[in-house]
Amino acid sequence: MTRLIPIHNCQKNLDFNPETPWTHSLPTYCFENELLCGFERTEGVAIELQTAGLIEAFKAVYPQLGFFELARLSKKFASTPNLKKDLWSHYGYHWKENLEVLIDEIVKLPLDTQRWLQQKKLAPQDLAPLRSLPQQEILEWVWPLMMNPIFSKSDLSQILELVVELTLMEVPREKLVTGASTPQWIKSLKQLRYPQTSSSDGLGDQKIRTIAWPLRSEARWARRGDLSGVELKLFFSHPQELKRSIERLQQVCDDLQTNSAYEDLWSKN
Amino acid sequence: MVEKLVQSIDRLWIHNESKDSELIQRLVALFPNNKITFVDSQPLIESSGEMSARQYNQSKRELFITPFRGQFFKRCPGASQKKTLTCCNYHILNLGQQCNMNCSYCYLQSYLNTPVMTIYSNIEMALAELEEMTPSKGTMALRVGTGEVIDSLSLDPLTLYSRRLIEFFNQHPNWVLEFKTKSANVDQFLDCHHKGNTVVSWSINPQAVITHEEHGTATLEERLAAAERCVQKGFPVAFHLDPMIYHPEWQNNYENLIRELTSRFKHKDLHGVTIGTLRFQPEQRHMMRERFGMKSWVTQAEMFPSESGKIRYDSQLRTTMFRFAVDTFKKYSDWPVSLCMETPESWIATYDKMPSQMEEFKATYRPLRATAPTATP
Repeated sequence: MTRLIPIHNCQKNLDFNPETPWTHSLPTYCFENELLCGFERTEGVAIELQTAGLIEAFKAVYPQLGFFELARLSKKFASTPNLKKDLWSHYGYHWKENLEVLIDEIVKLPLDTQRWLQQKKLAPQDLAPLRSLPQQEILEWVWPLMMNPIFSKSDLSQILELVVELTLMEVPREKLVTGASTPQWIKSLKQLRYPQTSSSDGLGDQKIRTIAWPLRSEARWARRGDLSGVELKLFFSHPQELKRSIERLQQVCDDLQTNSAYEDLWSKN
Repeated sequence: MVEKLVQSIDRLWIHNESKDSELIQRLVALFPNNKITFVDSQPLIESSGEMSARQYNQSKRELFITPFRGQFFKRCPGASQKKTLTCCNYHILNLGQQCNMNCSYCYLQSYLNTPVMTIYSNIEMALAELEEMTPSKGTMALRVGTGEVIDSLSLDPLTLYSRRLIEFFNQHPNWVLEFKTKSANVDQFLDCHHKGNTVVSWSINPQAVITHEEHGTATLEERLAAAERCVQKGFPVAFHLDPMIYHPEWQNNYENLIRELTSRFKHKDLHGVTIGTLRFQPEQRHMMRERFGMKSWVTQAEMFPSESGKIRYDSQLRTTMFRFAVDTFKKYSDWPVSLCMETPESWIATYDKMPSQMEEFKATYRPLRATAPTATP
């Protein structure tokens, strides 16, 4: 038989700051006097769910929860490890110690930041660098800079990893904020993290730009993983034009092979 | 050495199915009772999948002895990546997994998911598996290494498996057994009679790299002295400069190492020399960063994704390092040097040809029909 319990008689120990407020038109639910939703409500009654357990009740009320919501909720079960594992598994995650380490770090973030990262759908693997920092507070300065709509999920996970690594390499913060909040930021962080490669790639690009490439072509020094080299785009509107471009390219090729100025592009002895 | 090893292990877990094995009789005599626990299943399994840094660290102090139910004998993982790597037809015999030493770059950090160091108690099954291959492969020059997912010798003073293996390979003189180690633990088998087909090999690096990155391993001098003791007893030796690690003074340090090696050992004592540069699975970077911070030459290295899926140094830097090592070996010796788990491009860049086109490597790198499944890493 369904029991109705006055909300003021319910506990609110499980208020995990859900992303969206509980819809006004929906009833409030509880499980054994623990409120499951509508935590801001003070009046009325809550319907007691008759599920097999608390986690099943949560799953019934919230068929889906984001990673950050789960992290906050999971912290509520700190003293009941089995419930915690059960919670994660009900929402499709495999509980492991690494997840626990990460949760400990992310729940320390300001709620706004957590919400931003959740909105951007950052997953546990994107946040893994946080596990490396002995004191996560070191990064307090970075979160406001990351909360910028220009950054995609991929940008954010790159920025986070670069900033964590550079922080651990003891690069001063003033160097890390150069170009912050702009699309150039990632580039400047990469230059700090990969100084030798960035410098030789930059040199490559400079040299490549001095070459007289065929008309209506674009050449640049590009990096593809562990390989670097020239990326060439060619445009032609007539076969004759293509022929001329190929002739010009042959001259460029000869020059690249014989001119000592280009030697260091291909080997770093 | 045995006492030191016993001290370094917090708990010895023994699977009940192993308790009658010869190995357990020996270990029970070596370990104090309060460290020994008999179990019916794998211990410390709180969760499966990747381990946390803490679990990984602790796994090096938990030794589990259990029978192995799978296939002991496999082809080297390089064989499964023939499109991107040049394969030398190496085979591996796994008699356990995890290692009691602690190299920052160790690939086991992305490979293992059990929080214990494991040694298989049923070595006789492994040898029986090899024996079964005699009719078809008895005359082939099969090369078998035991140091793929566990150091061949670092725990050997406890198990004495080296002695069983040498004895077995004495009956198969065409086959070559390779112990690969970063320890100096060789004295436990030096009195064994052998037929010259047991190679003792060392993964070596300059002392600066050992100090910085290869924690808990033998010093360079200890490794070389152990190798000299093996040579004195007629065991061929091999050296793997792998992974070469880029660091300040890398050229000086590697040149000194190569000069030292070539002055202390003769070509006739040598089974082979390989070189390889740092490489690891991309996901491993998190574990390494958590365990070793960013002061390590490995974690702070400039690494990029390669075609094989692993991350590596920039290809031109790799070529520079390979050429440097090969040229330095040429400067001081006539030793042939091959590349380990490297791309065809690296071979061409280093030697201007593929190993199959080189007299000294032709036999080793010839295409081999499948003889065993390929290992996972």
